[in-house]
Amino acid sequence: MKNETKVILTIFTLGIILLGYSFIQTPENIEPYYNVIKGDNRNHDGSTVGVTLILKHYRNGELLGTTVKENDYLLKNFAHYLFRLNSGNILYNDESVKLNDTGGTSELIWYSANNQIRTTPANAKIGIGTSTSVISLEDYQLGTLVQTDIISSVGYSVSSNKMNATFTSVHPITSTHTITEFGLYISLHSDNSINEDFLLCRDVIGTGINVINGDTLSVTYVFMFN
Amino acid sequence: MIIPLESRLNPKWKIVIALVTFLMLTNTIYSTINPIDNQNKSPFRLIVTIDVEKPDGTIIHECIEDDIILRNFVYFLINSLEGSGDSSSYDLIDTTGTTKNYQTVHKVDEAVITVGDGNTPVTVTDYVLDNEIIQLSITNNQFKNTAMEYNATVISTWNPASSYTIREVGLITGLSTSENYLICRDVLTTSVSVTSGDIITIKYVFLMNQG
Repeated sequence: MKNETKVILTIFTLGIILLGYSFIQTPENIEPYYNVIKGDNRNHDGSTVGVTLILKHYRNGELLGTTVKENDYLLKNFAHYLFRLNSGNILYNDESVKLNDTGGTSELIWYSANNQIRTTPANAKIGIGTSTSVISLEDYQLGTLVQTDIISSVGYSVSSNKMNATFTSVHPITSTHTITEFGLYISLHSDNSINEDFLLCRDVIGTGINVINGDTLSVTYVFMFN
Repeated sequence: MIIPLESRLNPKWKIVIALVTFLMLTNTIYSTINPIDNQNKSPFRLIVTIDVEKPDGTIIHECIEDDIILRNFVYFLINSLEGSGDSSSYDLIDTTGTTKNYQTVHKVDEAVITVGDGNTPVTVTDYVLDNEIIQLSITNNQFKNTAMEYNATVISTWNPASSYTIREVGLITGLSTSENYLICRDVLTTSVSVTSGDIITIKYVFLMNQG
C-alpha cells in the first residue's frame, strides 16, 4: 500500500471515530435537540437551594427536544413569602413582607388574622410567554403571557441530605408561538380571603421554543436542596 | 521529486475527506452552540451567625455557611404549590414527632430560633433538636436588597441565666394553629460556650440570588 493511501485511510478512520464519538457524547443522539442554558458560571456547589427549569417539547406525541435552564432566579415575591413565613408577626403589614399580585398591586398576605397566612386550595400554576425582556426581581407577571396551566404533578426524591422537589405542568398549545419565558405562580390569600396568584419565579431562555397548534410543552421546576 | 499529496489524491478520496471534515465540523458547531443566558443566578443560600458579646465587650463570632434545609421545609413547599392535592405523601412531622397532614393555615407569629447542646449529625428527617436548651422568639427582622440580590434576616437574642454550650441551632416555623415544625437544623463545628451576663445574637440569613 502506498504511503499516501495509508495517510488517507488513517485520516478517514480517525474522522469516522471522532464523528462517532462526538455523536455518542452529545445528547442530540438521544433527542433532536437538547439545550443546556448555564448560569453565570459561579461556583454553586454548596448553595442551600438551586432551581432548574426543564422544558420538553412534544409534537404528535413525540419528543422534539429538551431545554434545561440552570440556576434560576427567585423573585422578590418568593423572598417576601419566605420572609413572611419565618419573620414572626412583627412586620406583617410592612412593605418588606408584601407581595405584588399579577396586576402589580402590593398586597398584604394574611388570612383570618394578621398572624396567619394561607395558601389556597387552588393548585399552583406555571405560565408560558413570549417576551424576552430582561428579568427584574420586581417582576410580578410574565412579559407577554400566553397561557397558564396548573401544576399537574409533583415529585420528591432524596439521597443522603440532598433533596429534589419537582413541579410539572403540561401546556397544550393552540396556536403558533415562540415560547421564551416561564413563570411559577403560587395561590395565596391576601387581605383576609381573596385568592390571588403571585409570581415566584420568572425565567427567560435565549433561544425560544417554536410551538404550533397541537404541540405540548411540559415545564418542570426542580428545586434542589442542600 | 516531491509531488504535493493533495495533487496525487484520487478525486473520490478528496470528496470523502471533504465530507468527513464537513460532518465533523458541523457536528462540533451544533454541539457547542447552546444559547447562553447571563440572567441566571443561584436562588438562595442559608447562613446562620452566632455572636456572643461578653460583659467585657469581647465578641465571639461563629458562622455556619450553607445551613441544612430539612425535609419539613421541602414538604411544606410541595404542599404549598400542590394546592388542593393536600397529599398525605408529603406529611410533615411536628416538633413533638407527630406526623401531620398538611394544613393550609400557617401561624406566622410563632417562628422561633431554637438552640441546643446536642451534636448528633443532621439528617433531613430531623424534626427537633438533639437536645434543646431554649426556643427564642424572633425579635427583629432585616430585609435588604440591591437591584438583583436580597438578604432576608431573622434575628433572636438571648441572655442566658446560667452556663451552656451551644452545639446546635435550628429554625422552627408555625405552620398551623397548634403545630410547629423544624425546617432547618445545623450542628456547629466549634461549640460556643455562653454564661450569665452574655448577650447572644443569632441570625438566620437567607441570601437570595447571590450564588
